[in-house]
Amino acid sequence: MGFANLTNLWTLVFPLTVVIYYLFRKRFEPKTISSTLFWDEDRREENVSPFIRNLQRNALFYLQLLALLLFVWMLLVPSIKQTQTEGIPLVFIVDSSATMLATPKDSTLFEMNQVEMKNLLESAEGRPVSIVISGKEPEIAIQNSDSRSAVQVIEGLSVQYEQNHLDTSIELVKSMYSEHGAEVHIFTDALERTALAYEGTNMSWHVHTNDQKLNNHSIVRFGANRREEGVVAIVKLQHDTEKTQPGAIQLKEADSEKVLAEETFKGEPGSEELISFKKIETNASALQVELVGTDDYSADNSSHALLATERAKVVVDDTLHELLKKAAQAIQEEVAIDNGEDFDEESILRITGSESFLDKGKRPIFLIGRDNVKPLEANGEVSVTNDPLFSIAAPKDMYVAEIYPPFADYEVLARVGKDPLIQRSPRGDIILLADLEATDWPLQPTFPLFVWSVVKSLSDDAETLGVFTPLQRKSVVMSEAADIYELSGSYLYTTESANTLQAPAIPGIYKATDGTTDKLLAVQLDSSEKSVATGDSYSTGKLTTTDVKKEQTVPVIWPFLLPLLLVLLIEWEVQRRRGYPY
Amino acid sequence: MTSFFPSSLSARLGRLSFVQHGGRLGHHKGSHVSKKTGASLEFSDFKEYHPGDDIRHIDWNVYARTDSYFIKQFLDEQEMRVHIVLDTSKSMNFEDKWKFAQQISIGLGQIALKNSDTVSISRMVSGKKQLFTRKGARQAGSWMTYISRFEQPSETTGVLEGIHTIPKGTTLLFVVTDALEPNEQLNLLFKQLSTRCRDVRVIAIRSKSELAPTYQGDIRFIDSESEKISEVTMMPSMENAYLLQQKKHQLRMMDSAAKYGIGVLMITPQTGPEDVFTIQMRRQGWIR
Repeated sequence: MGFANLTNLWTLVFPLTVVIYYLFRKRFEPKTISSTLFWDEDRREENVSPFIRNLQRNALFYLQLLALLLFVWMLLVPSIKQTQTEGIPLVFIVDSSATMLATPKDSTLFEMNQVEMKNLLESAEGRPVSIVISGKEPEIAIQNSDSRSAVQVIEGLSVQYEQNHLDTSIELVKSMYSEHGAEVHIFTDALERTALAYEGTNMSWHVHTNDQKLNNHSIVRFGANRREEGVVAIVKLQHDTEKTQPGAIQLKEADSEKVLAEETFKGEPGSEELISFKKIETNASALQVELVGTDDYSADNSSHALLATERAKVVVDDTLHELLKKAAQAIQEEVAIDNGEDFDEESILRITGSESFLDKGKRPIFLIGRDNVKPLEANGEVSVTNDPLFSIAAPKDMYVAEIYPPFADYEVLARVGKDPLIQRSPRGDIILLADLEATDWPLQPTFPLFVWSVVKSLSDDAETLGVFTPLQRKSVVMSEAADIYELSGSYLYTTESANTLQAPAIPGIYKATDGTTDKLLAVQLDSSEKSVATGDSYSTGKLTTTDVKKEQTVPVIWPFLLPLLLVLLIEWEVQRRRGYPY
Repeated sequence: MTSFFPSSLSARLGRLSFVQHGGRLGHHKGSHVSKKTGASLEFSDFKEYHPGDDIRHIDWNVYARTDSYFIKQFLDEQEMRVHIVLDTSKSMNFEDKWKFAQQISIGLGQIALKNSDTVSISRMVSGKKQLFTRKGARQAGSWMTYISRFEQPSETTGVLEGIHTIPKGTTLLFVVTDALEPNEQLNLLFKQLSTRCRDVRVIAIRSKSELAPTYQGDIRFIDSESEKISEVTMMPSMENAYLLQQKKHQLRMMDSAAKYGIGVLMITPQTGPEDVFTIQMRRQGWIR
C-alpha cells in the first residue's frame, strides 16, 4: 500500500475543523424542571446504554466525521501494489524511415506493417504492448499499455524519413526487456540475422521484412553549382530494376516548380547513370530534380540542392599538393595561390596547411595536415559518419599511411581505424588530419567531389544552413531560435534554441528565419534510404518464461467512494428524521 | 397566615358544599341527605307495610282512617367522610404548585368542616405516611394551620405509594397531584383508587411553564425526581412537540379516568384558588 498524493494530507484540516467546532460548540444550560416527561417522551430508547445513547445523540457528528475522513483518505489515493502474472510483453519496433514508403503492391510497406501490427494485437488480447519508433533517438510511443490504446497509437504513426538506426532501437528494447522476456516484432524492409545478438536474453525476435522485389529508380546524388555562364547540375541515378525502364529527369526551381530542363535516362537494370545539366539560366536559390517514370518507391525520386548566389574566392596554400590546386581550380573559377601575400580574410575561403589560420578571421577554413605535430602511423580502414559532407563523395577506399594526432573536442567526421581522420571545429573548419602525400586519395575520382563538397559546405555556411538529413540535429549560427517555414511560406515549427536546429522530416528546401536573416536549408534523404532492401522474414531467439510477474500499483478508490456516498445518504436521512443535533 | 389563605375566601367556601355522586355515605349521622330512608325528622313518603318492617314506623293515624298499615318513611341524613391525598413528590415543588396545592387542600377541608363532615389529609413524608383528621366547623382554623406548615415536598415516589394511607369508609376522595407520571402508572393509580372509594376526584395542578414552556436557547432539562436528562435546543418545533406530548398524555389520562369513573380537574395556580372553587369545581359539578 502506498500513497500517490501525501501532500493532500492538508485536507485533514476539514475534519479537524469539525472536531474543533464540536469541542467549542454551545453548551447546554442545565435547568431542573418538575418532569421531563413531555420533553423526551419519544426518546425513551436512548436509555438503553450510555454508549448507544451517545452514538444516537451525536449521530450526525460521527457521520460527518466519518465522511470527511473517508474523503481525506481518498484524496491520499490509496493504492495496493499487486504482483500480477501477465501475458508476455509484446514489443513492436517500427521502422519509420523513408524506405517504408516503398509501394510493392497497392499500399506502402508502412501501411502493410500497420495492418499486420493490428492483426497481431487482435490475437494478443490482454498482453502489455509497447511500441518503439526507430530513429537516431528511438521514441517509445507507448509502453506496457493495453492493445486498445496501442491500436490508436499505430493508427497515428507516420513515416519520419529519418534513417532507421534499428540497432539503437534493438539495444533499447533489449535493455528494457532482457530480464523479464518479451516477444519483439521488428517491422522493417530488411534486417540481417547478425543484427540480433540474442544470447543471454530471454526474448524472441520476429522480423517482418519486405520480400517483394521493387522496381526502384533513385536519385542517388544531386549537386548544383552556379557558374558565370549558368547553373551546372549533376544527377546520379541508380536503377534497381529487373527490366529496362526508361524515364526522364526534370530539373525544377524549388520554389516555383518551373521546369528548367529535362533529360531522359535509359534505366538499364542494376546500372548507374550520370546526367548533367549545363548552362541553366535561373535565379532560384534552390533547385529540385524529379524523376519521372514507373517506380515502386517514390521518396527518392526527387532531390533538392541549394545554390549559393555569392561565392567566396578560394585561396590555396602553395605548399599543398598539386592535385588539390587542380581540384580547386576545376570546381571554381576564382582560385588564388597563396604565396604569403595578404588577403581580406572575410571574403576568402582558405585551403591551407597551417594551423595558425584556425584562429584568424571569421570564416571557417579547410586545413590539410598539421604543421606543429608529428604524424603517426595509421592503421585500419577508413570509416565515415553520416555527415552531409560525404553525401556526394565519401573517402571510403582511401589508403592512409600516416595520421596526425586529433584536436581534442572537435567533431570527428571520419576515422582511420580508431583514429580521427577528418574533424570539424566548432567554428566549422574542416580538418583533414593527414598530408595528402601520405594518402592515395588525390588519385581517386572522388577526391575532386570531396573538395567540392568541402568548399561548398564552407562557403554555403554564409547564406544557407547547408544540407540536413531528415530530423537531423545540427548546430547552426542563428541569432535566436529560428522559425522554420516551407518554401511556399507556410509555418512549420520553431526550433528550441538558437544554436541547434532539427531539420524537418520530409525532404525538401526549407527556410529558417531568426527575425533578421532568412537562411535556406535542404533536407535530403540519407543515402541508405535511397534503396529499398528486400529480406526474409524470420523468427529467432527463445522465450523461456511463459508468465511474467509484474508489480502494479492499483489505486483503491471505489471501495472507499461507495461508503462515502452511503454515509452522506445516511447523514441526510438522520438530518431529515432528527432535525438539528441538540 | 391570612395571606396564605385569605379569610374572605374562607367565608365564601362556607356557603359551598360537596355534591355527592356515589350512593354510599358514612356510617355516622351527619348533615348530608342520604338516598336511603332513615331516621331524620324530614318526612319522605308513605309505603305499604310488609312483614319485617319496623312496626314503630307505622302511621297509626292513617291506619285509623284507612284500616290498613302504612309505614311512614323519613329521609336519612348521614355524615360525609372526605379524604385528601396530597402528592408530596418533588415535582410538586415547582414554581407555585406546592403553595397552590396547599391552598386547594385547605379549601377542600374547610368546605367539609363547614358542613360538619369528617375530613382527613394524608401525605408521605420521608417514606412514612402522615394522616391528619378533623371534624366540625370549629376545626377549620387548626386545619388551615396544620396544612400551611407542611414542609417542601421531597419524595421521589408517586401517589401510588401513598394509596394505603386512605382511611376506610372514605366517601369522597380528593387526590391533589400534578399527574406528571407516565400514563401506565396513572392508569394503575386510577384502578387502585377506584377500589378504595366510589367517588374519587383528581385535581391535577400544572404550573404556567409546564403548560406552555417559554424557555430560550440550549437547555439541559433535569428531571427533579428521576434526574433524567433531556437536552433541548428550544425551537418552535420543539415547543409544538412538547404541547403535543402533553395533550396526548392528558387525553390518555382522561380516558383511563373515565374508565374507572374518576373525575379529573386540570387547574393551574395562575387562576388563583377562588376561581377554582367557585367556578371550575362548580362547572365540573363537584360543588354547589
